Amino acid sequence: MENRNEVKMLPNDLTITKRIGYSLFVMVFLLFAPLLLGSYFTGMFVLMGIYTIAAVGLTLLMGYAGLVSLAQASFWGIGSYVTGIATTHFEWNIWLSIMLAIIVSAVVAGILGFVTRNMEGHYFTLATLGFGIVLNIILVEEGDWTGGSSGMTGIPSLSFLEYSINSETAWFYLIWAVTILVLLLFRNLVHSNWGRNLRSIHSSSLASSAMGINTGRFRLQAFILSAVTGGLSGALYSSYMGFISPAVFNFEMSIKFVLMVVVGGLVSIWGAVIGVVVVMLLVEFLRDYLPLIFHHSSAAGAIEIIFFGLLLIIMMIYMPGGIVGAIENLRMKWRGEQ
Amino acid sequence: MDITDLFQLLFSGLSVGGIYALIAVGFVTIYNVNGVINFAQGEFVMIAAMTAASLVSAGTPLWISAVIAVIVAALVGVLVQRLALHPARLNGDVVLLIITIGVSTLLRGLALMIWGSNPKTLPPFMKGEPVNVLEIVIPRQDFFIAGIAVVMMVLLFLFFEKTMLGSALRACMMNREVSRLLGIFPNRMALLSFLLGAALAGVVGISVAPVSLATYDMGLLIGLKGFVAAVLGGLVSIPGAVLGGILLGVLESLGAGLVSSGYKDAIAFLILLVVMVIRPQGIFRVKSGKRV
Repeated sequence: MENRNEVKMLPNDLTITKRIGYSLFVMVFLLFAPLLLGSYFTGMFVLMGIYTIAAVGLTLLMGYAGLVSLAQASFWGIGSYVTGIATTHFEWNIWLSIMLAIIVSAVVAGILGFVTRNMEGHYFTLATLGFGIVLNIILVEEGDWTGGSSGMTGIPSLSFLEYSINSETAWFYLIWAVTILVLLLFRNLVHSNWGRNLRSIHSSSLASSAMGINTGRFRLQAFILSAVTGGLSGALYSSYMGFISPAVFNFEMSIKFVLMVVVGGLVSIWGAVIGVVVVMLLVEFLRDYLPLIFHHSSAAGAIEIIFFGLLLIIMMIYMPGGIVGAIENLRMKWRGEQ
Repeated sequence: MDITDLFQLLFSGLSVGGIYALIAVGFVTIYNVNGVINFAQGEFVMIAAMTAASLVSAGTPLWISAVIAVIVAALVGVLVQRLALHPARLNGDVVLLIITIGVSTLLRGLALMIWGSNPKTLPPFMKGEPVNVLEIVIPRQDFFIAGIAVVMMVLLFLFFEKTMLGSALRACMMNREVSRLLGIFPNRMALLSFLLGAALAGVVGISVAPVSLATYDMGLLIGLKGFVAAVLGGLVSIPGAVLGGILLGVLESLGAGLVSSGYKDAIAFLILLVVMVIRPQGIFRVKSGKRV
């Protein structure tokens, strides 16, 4: 089928002064944010940072490699559970456990990705869906290790030597430092030779393989990278929450990750952070105000799912480039009229 | 384990396989006309099952509820094609795929809002004690399921092979552009494919609801299994999808009986991975060659 309206990638055309300006603005905002936000919203921003790490990897996979994964919550879960099991069953150091979580996520993705590396997109998507279902079965069935459906508690907080990170503010600084590091890393990756090859595969897998690009290998690498961000994000999540259960890592959460990436925009790595913030704030808004409209809170869960579905459809029909893509279109129009 | 147990598993596998085959046919038809794997296929099954169950509990006779439920599922399928996929039909594969994921999420959410999260039951279409055939105990509803699968297969065969509309749909599945040159409207065929796929899913919904309970989130797993069946058959041929469904049903039933029933739902996924590694073109011989 022809792809007449294929999503276009953004050029990296910001001037150096603008770039410094934006970076300074973000730095200053993040530095003072915990003071301005209060502890509730600071906690929410910690979660946003954690989600962003997982969403960045998914943006790389969906936007640049053109593969839709419905298993990002599963890798998130693998990261959480490996950290949980290593710290509580084997009393490993938390940092070592996080390392292990990343490695396990990468290995699992390597195996799953190797099997599906030469498949067309929808095979991959359904394979990830099946993997997610199987992982959830395992988490519930292997109760000796995972605590079954009631989950695990007592996962330790991160600590440097004597000093353990307990306050929301400390978590905020730590998580956003990691998030920005991951964002920068992926931005460089996308604009590297490797990233260009990946994008060419997305535009036309056939043409790229005719040019001598090993499409399967690049897809596999992109999938492993996305799983690594999922694993890291999950490991940090488990340490931040101290408690995990299989219900958090279900299919709905994978959909939520896809939604965050789609809302922010598949066209840019920065879309991930915008998507996460917008979706989280919208969900917060829905949770606060919908029960008032419908007069009972039990409908809220259903309405959240309906909202996710509707938003996915509407975004894909009217704004396939997401918020970043829409902003870019406006910028182009404005420039054209000048 | 003796031989009667084996036959027992075999028969229940065959009847479940008929179910998977019907979903797989829907997948294949929709995929080849619209160029997208319809993620919401399992949700059509769920809608029919839930509609029938709530109609029966409201006092409607069983058979009438079943017919209404299939019609409702088919209508939802048509609406999905018109409202969600048609406006984005010129976009890339990723966009269409995400739209069907969105549709599936939306339908699941609507079902949760309308019917709640409690499982619903539907009385079996064939009542009475299980039948004893040569020491094999077969629930009567299994006969119904196997029977309806056979009837649907025959109807599908007649439709695709003997009617003008079926031939047009088949032509459009093979090559959209050339079929347009021959005077077939691909847009109408896209609509027809969703009507057919959703109606088949609806028949599946009312057949399985009496055996396994109807819940708002049943669509995910049953849809995935239908897809595995379609992949087994190569994703392009309707007879392949039927055989794939039956094979999957038998393998799953044997696997659950011989190995472990806790991991029963993981078997389909394992088969999917194995097929992807060994025979990505499907286990039956189909002509190869990739559309560019």
